[in-house]
Amino acid sequence: MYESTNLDLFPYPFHNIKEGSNYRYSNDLRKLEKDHTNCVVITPEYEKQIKRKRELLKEQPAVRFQSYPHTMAMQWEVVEMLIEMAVDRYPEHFQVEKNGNHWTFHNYILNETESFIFGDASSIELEPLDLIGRHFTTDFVLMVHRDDNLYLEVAQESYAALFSPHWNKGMTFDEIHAPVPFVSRTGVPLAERVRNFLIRNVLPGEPWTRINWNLMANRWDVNYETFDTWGPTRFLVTPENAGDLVRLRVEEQFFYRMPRSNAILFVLNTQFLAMKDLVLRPEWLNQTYSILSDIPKPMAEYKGFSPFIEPTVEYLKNLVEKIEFQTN
Amino acid sequence: MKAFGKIEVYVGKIVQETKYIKRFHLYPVDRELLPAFTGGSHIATYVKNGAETIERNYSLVSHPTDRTQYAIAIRKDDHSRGGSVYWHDEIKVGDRLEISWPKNHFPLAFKAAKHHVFYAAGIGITPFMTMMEDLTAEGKSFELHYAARTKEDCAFYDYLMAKYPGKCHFYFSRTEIPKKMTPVTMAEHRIGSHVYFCGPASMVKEFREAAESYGYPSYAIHFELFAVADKGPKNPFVVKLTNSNKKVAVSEEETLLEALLKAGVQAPHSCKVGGCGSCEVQVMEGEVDHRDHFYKDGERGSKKVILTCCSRAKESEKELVLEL
Repeated sequence: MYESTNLDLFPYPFHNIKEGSNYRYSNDLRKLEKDHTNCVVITPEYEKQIKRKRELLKEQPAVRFQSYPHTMAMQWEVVEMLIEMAVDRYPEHFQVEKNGNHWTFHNYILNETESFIFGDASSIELEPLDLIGRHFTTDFVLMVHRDDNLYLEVAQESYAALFSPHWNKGMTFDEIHAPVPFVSRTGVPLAERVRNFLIRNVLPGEPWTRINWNLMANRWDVNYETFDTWGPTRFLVTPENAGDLVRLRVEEQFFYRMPRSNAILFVLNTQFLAMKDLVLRPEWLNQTYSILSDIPKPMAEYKGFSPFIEPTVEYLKNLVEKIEFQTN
Repeated sequence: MKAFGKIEVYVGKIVQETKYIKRFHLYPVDRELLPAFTGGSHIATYVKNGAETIERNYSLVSHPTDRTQYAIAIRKDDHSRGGSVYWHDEIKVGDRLEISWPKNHFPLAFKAAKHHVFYAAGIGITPFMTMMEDLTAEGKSFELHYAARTKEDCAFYDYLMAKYPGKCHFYFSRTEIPKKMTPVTMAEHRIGSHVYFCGPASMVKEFREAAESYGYPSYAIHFELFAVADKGPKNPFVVKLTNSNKKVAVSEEETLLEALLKAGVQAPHSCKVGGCGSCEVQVMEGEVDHRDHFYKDGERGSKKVILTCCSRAKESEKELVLEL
């Protein structure tokens, strides 16, 4: 998570929407290209982000990390994959020494070393995914494929949108996304269609991706456990302060099928852009204004931004008009 | 852990399992550990024969957590498309080929599965080899029913007898006292049993229908087929794609999936025999001639979808409009 300072790196979510078209839910998963399958990314903000992530995990440990006891082998499988990815992409920052099952993982950016017996959870203080997850800025959710659904059985999440490992543990994919009140153009319930697509197409060795977006008012993350704090603040947004308070929240999602556990690992990279910064890219400002003015009510309700969508659109409208006035 | 994509392996050992079945052991060229997998998994193999690449899927028969090598067992079939004949006649120790990561379109059931019963005919034993390993490791209850012509033609006979005493039931049809494997044993499995079938299309059909007639819930019936069911001639037709704004003509020589890939459309796919559902595409307009064995009968009518690897347009004259 970080507030984007480099717009060239910001994953603007509406690139694929034609000018003048609106945003509607669809199955928008893409297979990752051969040379872009590694989800480990080190940005200049890495140290700052890790510090913040660890603070959040420490503040609410039970809310932000949850697992079942039967998931240890699954977690070790994820540990191995993440370490291999880190070492493969950034050999100057990460290194692993393997002496049989005795592994030592070096993080040279933070000058930290993790030593453990691979596969033996008693050799570490935290659980395997909770330990390794603290070296990466992304959030991790492990959805285990059982019969015809995916079940949330392990998660470490610091930057959530109406979600928490504590609240969502044990839920099926459908339950987590309920009530997605939307159907595809052919009338199929969307959550079911996306779930089936994930189960059938996210196969070992073939990772996929998609970009999810939302709006957030004066918060980096929202979960049900802290609703009393952030719930009321959503009503404080006005057309005057929306530029500072409201942020476009973009979540790059990566999906990896874990070959041994048959689970799908969701890797979530969350980034923010303040509404006022849209002005730096006038074409983004125009399109975001046009798309947000046409969001159906049920979608705004589901995404949780209905209390402040109107002042936000009003703010963008004023901004668009101001720029048009200046350029004319 | 491998980089994603295909894995380069070499053939390290070939074992003549029976008169018609050979077992091939594949080792990673880079000597890194291979991915572990789940019971019921298969790999796609890509063998270069001159300019042509022979792509075939084979179930893994090595232990799911053995990451030093994979093994597959192939029955030589003179009447099929030629992949098995090539493997038997041409592949030698030391040959290199590419394989996919292990994929599983035939996983073990989880919910309310109290007992697992496997019905294998001939080479259909292969996916059950790894499922039984997983169930054994988890201490779960299962039994195997396995039909072959003779004991000599029965791949893994000695191994199975030694490893799973009391759990295997063999049926040899060409012996002095022939014994036929029939669905009637399914009437006796206890409530909570899940049944799994693997073998020729006719065998799978017979067992599926029998299981339904005995009252097995549909979620307790599992099967895997190795080929597309042959359902009549292939007519040429045309599809219109709404997202990419293209028209693609499909000839009588090819599948819709082949035509789409040839036209540069990124159409999803995996098993290519109408069994896994990966290639499903939404149908906006037009009638589909469904040839898969993936959907349940009711679903074909209610969902407007097509599996591009095997299904076609109902009529050559009316084009299909697909969301792709």
